[in-house]
Amino acid sequence: MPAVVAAIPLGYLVLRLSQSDPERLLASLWRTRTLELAANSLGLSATVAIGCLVIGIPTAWAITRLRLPLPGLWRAVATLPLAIPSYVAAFAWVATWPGLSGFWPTAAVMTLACAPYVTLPVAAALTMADSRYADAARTLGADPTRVLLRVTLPRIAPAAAAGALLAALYTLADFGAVSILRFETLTWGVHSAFEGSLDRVLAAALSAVLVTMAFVFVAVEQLMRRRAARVVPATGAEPTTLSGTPRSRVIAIAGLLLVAALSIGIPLGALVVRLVGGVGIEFDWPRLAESTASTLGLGVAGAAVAVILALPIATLAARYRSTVGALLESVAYLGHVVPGVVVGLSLVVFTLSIAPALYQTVFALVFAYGVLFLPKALGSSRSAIQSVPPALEDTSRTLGLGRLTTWWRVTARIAIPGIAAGGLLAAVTAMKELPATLMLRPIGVETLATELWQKTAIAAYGAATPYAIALVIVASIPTFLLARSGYRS
Amino acid sequence: MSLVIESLSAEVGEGGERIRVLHDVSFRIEAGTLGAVLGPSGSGKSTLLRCIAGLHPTVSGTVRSGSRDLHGVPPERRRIGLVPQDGALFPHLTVGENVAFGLTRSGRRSRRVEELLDLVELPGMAGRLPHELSGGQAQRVALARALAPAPDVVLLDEPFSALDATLRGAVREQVRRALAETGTTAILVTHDQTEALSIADRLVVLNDGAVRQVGSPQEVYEHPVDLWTGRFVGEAITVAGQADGIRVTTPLGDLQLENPALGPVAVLVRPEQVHLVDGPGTAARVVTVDYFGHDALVQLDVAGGAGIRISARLATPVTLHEGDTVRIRIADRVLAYPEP
Repeated sequence: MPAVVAAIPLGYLVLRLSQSDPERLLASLWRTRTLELAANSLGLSATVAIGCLVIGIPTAWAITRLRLPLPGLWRAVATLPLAIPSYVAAFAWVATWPGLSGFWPTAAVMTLACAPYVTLPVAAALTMADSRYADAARTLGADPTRVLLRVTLPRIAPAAAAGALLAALYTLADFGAVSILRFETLTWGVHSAFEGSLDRVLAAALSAVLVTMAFVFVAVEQLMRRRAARVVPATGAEPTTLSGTPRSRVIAIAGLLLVAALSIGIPLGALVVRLVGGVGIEFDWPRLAESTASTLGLGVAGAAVAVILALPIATLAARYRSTVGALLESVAYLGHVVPGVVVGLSLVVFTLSIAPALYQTVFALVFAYGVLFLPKALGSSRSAIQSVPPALEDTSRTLGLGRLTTWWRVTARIAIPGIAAGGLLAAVTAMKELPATLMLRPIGVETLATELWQKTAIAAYGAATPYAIALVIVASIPTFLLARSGYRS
Repeated sequence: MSLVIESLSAEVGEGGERIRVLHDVSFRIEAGTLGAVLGPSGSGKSTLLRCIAGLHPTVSGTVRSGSRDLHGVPPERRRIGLVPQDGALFPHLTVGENVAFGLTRSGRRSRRVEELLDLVELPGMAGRLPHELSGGQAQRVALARALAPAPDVVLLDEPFSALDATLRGAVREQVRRALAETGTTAILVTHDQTEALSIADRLVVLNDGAVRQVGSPQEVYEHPVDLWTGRFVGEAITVAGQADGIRVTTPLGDLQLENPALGPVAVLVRPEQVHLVDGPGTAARVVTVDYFGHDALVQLDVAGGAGIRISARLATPVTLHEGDTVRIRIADRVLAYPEP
């Protein structure tokens, strides 16, 4: 039932697409403009994926295999870019150098923002790939270069590929950064077809291309992830020995510092400099307070919807290994694949034709958040429920409690930290959401993200800066909390 | 309340991969007694318990508690308590809250929780959390929790297997006393023969999902229905023999039969039936001596006897050493079964 609810808007979009005049649809699809946007999206995603591999693998190598001073610091620095929404980073660069625009600046900003998607899984794979294999290869006559190429790289390759595909997926779905840096991709095309010309068939056709590409990326990513999961740690594996000549350590530290400066230092520095420089200038504080309040309210409401949708699916998936359960779960993960701009569009189309009263109301927006961030709530609820021993539920039943009472008093009660963590993740992600919010927000309601976007669009960088800083603070909450609870995704 | 199981069958798995794990299981446990279901791992013991509790669907057959047919009754209305394998105390509740879990509101206000903790000899522990308890204590709290709503039957799933040997006997005795004091009918499943024989009023031997034998521990031990059961409930060796109705000729001598048999048979000999003698007897050479304190198990190779190795349980002190030659005689009547 909840999975069906989650799939309704998208299904409706497909239905509308199939009902529209096929010739007009084909014409929209085969326009040179559509192909150009698709090529732009694909090119950008591929470039970012390669860039992330180039930065991520050496970073992972340096933080796991070299004896560096302050090892904890370098790990934190490698994770930190995730706490800066890509459009905030784009804003910081543009606000500092207003001329930046086009393919290469966009690719660079997205690469720096997405590199952790490669760094973190590769670092995990390197930690698991214990040194005994490398040692065995050395005793078989392989020199260090050959060991790297023949033993170590093949073992981390699936993890690296899965990470790179995740970065590509994120880039494909990104709307804010490409808009701010004025590089025209499919997401930008969907939004402008909707906003500018109100051409819903064109918007839907572009969405279809976008979603198809996203599904291909996710399919390959899942394949790679399954391969990566096969690299299990050998039992009793020796912890990898840290090594490195002084020269290699200096080079590594210089490289890590350079990446950190570009991905964190400059964007954050630029924001702080602007804020300090802007002191004394008239600023609309009540407006900031108001949009902060609506951001919090909408985010929490969206997370609540996501958790309510997630709990039945999580319980089914965790307790009953059936085909139906697996199917429901994969439907629920649609939000992970479908870009926000498409979910926004589908809800616009859906509310306008089925329930016009809901168009541009808080309900439609909160529902969109629920669909989009259902996977965030689902993942952690599912593993939390799975970790509750079934024997506890059995015992509760034999003590006279029914199925639902048992779920409430035993299962949910024990799984609550995991469910809450999933809800928090969903809330914080919803607070950063830009494209669906732009399309669905009720008139007069602004969030931090939409304010930043609008002010950047008119080059009011000074007025936008506090919003950017507020967003960085919001985005760093889960990074901080998850790091503290030792959570590994 | 007596518990009656009649031709119960059950399957595990789903879709096209269903496997039948219980075949026409029938037995009866009288009101207020303790039954033990004994079987090797994978024999279907735990599934049987879950079927009785209503936690696993049955394919056919009935479960009756007293005069109630439990067909279609959900677990929460069966009045059958469960003590899971490792206790499975609710980790988010204190000991007292665990025991009170199945009580009604008025039950929670009464002194019932303290009474039950007294019953399992854990007075004053109500405020503890499960992780602060030892294995034996957790097991007894789980029993108190199962007994709290005064169920008709209590099921115990391998309740002592996680405890170390020194603790096991004491906890077993406490559990037996608590069950007897409340007069609760109980079924315990175990793969431990000694445990089943010592604690049960009635023994149900289960193998491959089917009942082999039901009877008092003594009946099952002394008169197993077949060779497999005889070897499973206690240590035994088998030797081939030729029976003439009341006697059987074996490499261990001419033995008297417990049950009439004719022709080629397999004879079951238990270690305690083997005695060392000074006079005439079968010669054997000592291979190993396993010393247990109260007695010793001695492995013997029967001289000239076609590679037959038997074990003898001897009262200590034992002065035998490896390589010694002794004479043995089988004192009592033996059981013979058709050649497998």
